[in-house]
Amino acid sequence: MTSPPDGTRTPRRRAGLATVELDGELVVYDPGAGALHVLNASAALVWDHCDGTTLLDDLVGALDGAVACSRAQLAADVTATLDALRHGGLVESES
Amino acid sequence: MPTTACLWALGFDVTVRTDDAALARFLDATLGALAVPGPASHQYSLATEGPADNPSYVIALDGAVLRRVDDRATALGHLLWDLNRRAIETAGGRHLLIHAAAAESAGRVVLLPGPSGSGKTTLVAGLVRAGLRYVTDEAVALGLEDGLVHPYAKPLDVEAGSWPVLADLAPPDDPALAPYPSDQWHVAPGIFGAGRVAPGAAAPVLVVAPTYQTGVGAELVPLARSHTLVSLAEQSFNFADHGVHALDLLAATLRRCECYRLHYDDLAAAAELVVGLLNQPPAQP
Repeated sequence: MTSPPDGTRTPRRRAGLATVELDGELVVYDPGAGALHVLNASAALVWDHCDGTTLLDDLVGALDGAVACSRAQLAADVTATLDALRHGGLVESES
Repeated sequence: MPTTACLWALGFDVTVRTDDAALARFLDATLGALAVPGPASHQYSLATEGPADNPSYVIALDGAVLRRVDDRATALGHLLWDLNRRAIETAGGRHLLIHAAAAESAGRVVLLPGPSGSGKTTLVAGLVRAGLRYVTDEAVALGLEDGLVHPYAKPLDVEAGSWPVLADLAPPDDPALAPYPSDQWHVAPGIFGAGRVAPGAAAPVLVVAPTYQTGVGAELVPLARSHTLVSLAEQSFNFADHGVHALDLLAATLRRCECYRLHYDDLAAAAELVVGLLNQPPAQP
C-alpha cells in the first residue's frame, strides 16, 4: 500500500550509495548492505530528483511532460516509486 | 621424487612433488597449461605412506600437512581444489574474480557466467572445440587496473552429466592411476591440441550466461546490461572487497559488451551461436 500523496515531502537519496548508468537504467550499490538495485529509466528519473530540497509537488511537476499520463496518475506513480525506493533503503526518511 | 614444472595459477606459483609415478604423469599432463619457466615460491608434496599395495596419501604445502587421505582419487581431488582456492585467494587483490568460464578469439573474450551446474564448463569445451581458445572454466580474473581478462588455464572440471556430450575428453585409461575420481573428470586443456589456450590477457566483448534446458536446442535471449552487472556481481568471489571500484569496472566492461542468456541442450548449436556473436564486428560506441 502506498503512502498518500503529500506535496510537502522532500525525499532525499541516502548517503553512501554508489551508482552507475547503463543504457538509461541505473544500478545502485549499497556497500553497507552489500546490495545492488536496478532502477529503470522512470525510477532513475525520480531518484535523480531526490535531493532533499525538492518538494514532492515540484518533483511531480518536473517530471510532468516527460511521461504520457495525467498529473494525478503521475503523482501516484511517483509516490509508489518513492515508497519502493524507501523500502529498498535508497531514500531516507523525509521531512 | 618427480616434481612438476612451476605452475602459475593467477599469481600463486607452485610445484607439485610426488613419489607416486602414475600421479606425477597425470599431474604433468593435467596441469601442464599452467607451467611457466623458473623456480616456484611454493611446493606441494603428495607423498605415499603405509603399505605399497594400499598406500595412504599425505598432502602438504611448504612442509605443512594439509590433509591425510586414504586413496589417490581423494588426494588428487583435494590437491586440485586447494590449488584453485589459493589461486583465487592470491589473485583477489588485483582482480575482480567472477565465477565464470571464458574463451577467446583474436583478442576478444566471451564470458560465460553462471553457478555450478549451469553448463559453463560444457559450453566452454564446446567453444574450444569450435575453434576458440580456452581461458578458464571456473574463475574469470578481470584486472582491476587494465580491465582485461587474465587467463587461468586450469583443468576443466567436467561433471558426470556432461560426459555423454564430451566423451572425447574422457581421462586416459591408465590402470596405474586407479581409482580415478568417479564424479568428475579433470581434463587437461592440452587435450584440444596445441595453441588452444589463450596466450595472454584480452578484452571481454561478450557475455553469455548459459542455462541448460532440455528440448530447446540453442536459443539466445538479450539481457540488459544493468541486470547483467548485478548477475556478474552476484557471481563474483570478491565484489564486496573492491566495492565501488568493482562497480565501476563492471560498468565500464559491460559498456563494451553485448549480453545474452543462452538456453541450450544442443552443444554444437550453442557453440555455433556464440562463435557467430564473437565474430561479429565490434559495436560502434
